[in-house]
Amino acid sequence: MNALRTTVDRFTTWVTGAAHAGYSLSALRILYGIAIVSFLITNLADRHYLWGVASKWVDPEARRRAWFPLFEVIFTKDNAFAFDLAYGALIVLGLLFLVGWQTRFVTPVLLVFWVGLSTNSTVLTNGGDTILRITLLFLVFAKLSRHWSVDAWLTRRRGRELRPILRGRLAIPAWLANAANNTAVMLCAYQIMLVYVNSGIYKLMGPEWREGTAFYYSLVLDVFRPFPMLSDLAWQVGAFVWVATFLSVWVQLLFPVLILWRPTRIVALAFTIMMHLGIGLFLGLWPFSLAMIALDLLFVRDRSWVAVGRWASHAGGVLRQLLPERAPAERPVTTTADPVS
Amino acid sequence: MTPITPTPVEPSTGSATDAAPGSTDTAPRQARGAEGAARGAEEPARGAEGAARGGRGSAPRQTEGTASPGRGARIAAAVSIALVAAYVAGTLIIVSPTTPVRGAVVAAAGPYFTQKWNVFAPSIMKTNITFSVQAQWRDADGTLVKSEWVNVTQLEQESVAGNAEPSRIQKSSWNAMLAYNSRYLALDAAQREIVRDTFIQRADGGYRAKSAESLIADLDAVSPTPGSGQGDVVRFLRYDYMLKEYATAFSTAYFGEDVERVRWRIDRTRPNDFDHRFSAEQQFDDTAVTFGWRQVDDVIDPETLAVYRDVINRYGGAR
Repeated sequence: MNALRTTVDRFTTWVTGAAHAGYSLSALRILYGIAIVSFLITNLADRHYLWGVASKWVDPEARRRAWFPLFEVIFTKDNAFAFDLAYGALIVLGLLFLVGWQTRFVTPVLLVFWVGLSTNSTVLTNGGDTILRITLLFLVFAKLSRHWSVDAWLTRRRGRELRPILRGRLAIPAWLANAANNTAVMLCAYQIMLVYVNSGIYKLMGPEWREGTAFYYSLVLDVFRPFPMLSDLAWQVGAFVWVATFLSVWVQLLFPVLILWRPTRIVALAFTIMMHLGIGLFLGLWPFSLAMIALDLLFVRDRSWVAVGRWASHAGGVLRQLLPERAPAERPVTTTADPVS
Repeated sequence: MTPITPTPVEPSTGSATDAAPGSTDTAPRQARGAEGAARGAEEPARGAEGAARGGRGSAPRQTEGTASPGRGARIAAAVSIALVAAYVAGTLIIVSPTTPVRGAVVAAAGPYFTQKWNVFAPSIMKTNITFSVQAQWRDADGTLVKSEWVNVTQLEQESVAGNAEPSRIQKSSWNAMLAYNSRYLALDAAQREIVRDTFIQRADGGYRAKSAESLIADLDAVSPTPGSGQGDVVRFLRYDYMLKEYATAFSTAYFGEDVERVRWRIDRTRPNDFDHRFSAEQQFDDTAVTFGWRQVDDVIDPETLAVYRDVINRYGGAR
């Protein structure tokens, strides 16, 4: 009974005592921001064709999906100017999210606009949009701007926490904010594991995945060939195709087990991140790739981020010392003392 | 990106930091050593917030980390674990093979929480599929003129090669064809024959589109189980109607004529299998399915036409 009580207490403390994954969530915010903004920019010229006035042909299907009505009113197909206003607002929201300004308020608005755009069509969405949509809802409740953000910068500069819009009237107790953050982290971590295991099982049922040739087939379809020469080069080497296919199946399938122990976790994350970089490079599915990499990074602990940061700033210091002739020219004499050395 | 530099927790704010503000508990953070220190960077601000509220939460610091959490925290933790458990249970039901409750859970999850992770699996996609359209209009004498075929998908996929992150236009007619083709294949042989034929009938010395009702009746009549397979028929006809709109807008913009009829073709090409990847000889024949003429009976609004023209010009398909 006592042991149970201790376990419950420890769990309660873990959930409410501190907001976890501070660095991972901040990295995730940046990668999601890049995914969203780059998506909107690459589709800018085609926006009316894909979601706007010229996309009415898809409505008989799109309007059958029974989306929450709020999502369906933002991007109109009747007025190109109103559509452009919403599209512009979405780009601004994506940028604010990327730089981490007032994310507590920006994130829910971004979510509604982002999902709103995608409800205008049924022929354009892929798994990347789905994973982004689902996890972004969870992340509305997470603290996304604790590092590498405008919020963090302003906090440091003023020496106190940034006052939220509404002048702190929505202040919630820290234990509740922590619990919300940590629940979001747990849900996102679970969702990515579900994606991996589920698609690992599906892959295991496919003969091309078991034979180790599936990667070849993804490289030869016109729709997924941003760099045809690169794709054709990649499938020349049979061993490369086989290893990439084989690892994709098994790392996905075993992902929840591999992340339990630090050494295997590093291997699993290194592989999934490389796999998604490969998907981005070879198939051009960057929004999907970036979202998956961002979620993979949730499994990196804060202390690992700090260690990497320390190593990076040390490496940066060494680099600066290797280029001695440039440094004095740019800095006043009084600040030449290098903090790293 | 600024480098990560952990700010040490200020001793003066440390005690306020460790106490969860707004509750009467002490978070036993110091017991967790390095992890707590690493996270210290984010804490000073919140510590200040706690202190500003009169230090209600600054209970005496516990060194063992065994302080019992307060009621609010307990409820929050219980709600947290309940939410995660409910989500895990719900999604596992959705991804599992059919169970009695699956339908209800899928309906509750709505389109928002779709869990379809069979991307590229089990059997990976092996064929290219494209949407080509052909149009008819009347010349000065009033006789019908037939256009050449134009491949819509090929034009849209001009966006792909050379672009690290292609425009999503790459998927527009490609995905439409995948959906349309699967609905076509859901029909049986006699029904497929009907939909490959024209949907236009003579009327009052002219022509007009067959009504949806008459098409459903015709397709139902040839079904081996009349009356039961209407879902497939309706699903196909809905997509057929959508493609008629797509083809009309596209061909009107492309040919710059007052289009009266359109039809389309699904072309499928399949690259050689892995074992024959170095062979110059094409292993699989190209296949094409051509559908019958459809009557254009809608007015296309000029704004839509301008958008189509712009896309056609930008992707280099203008005649």
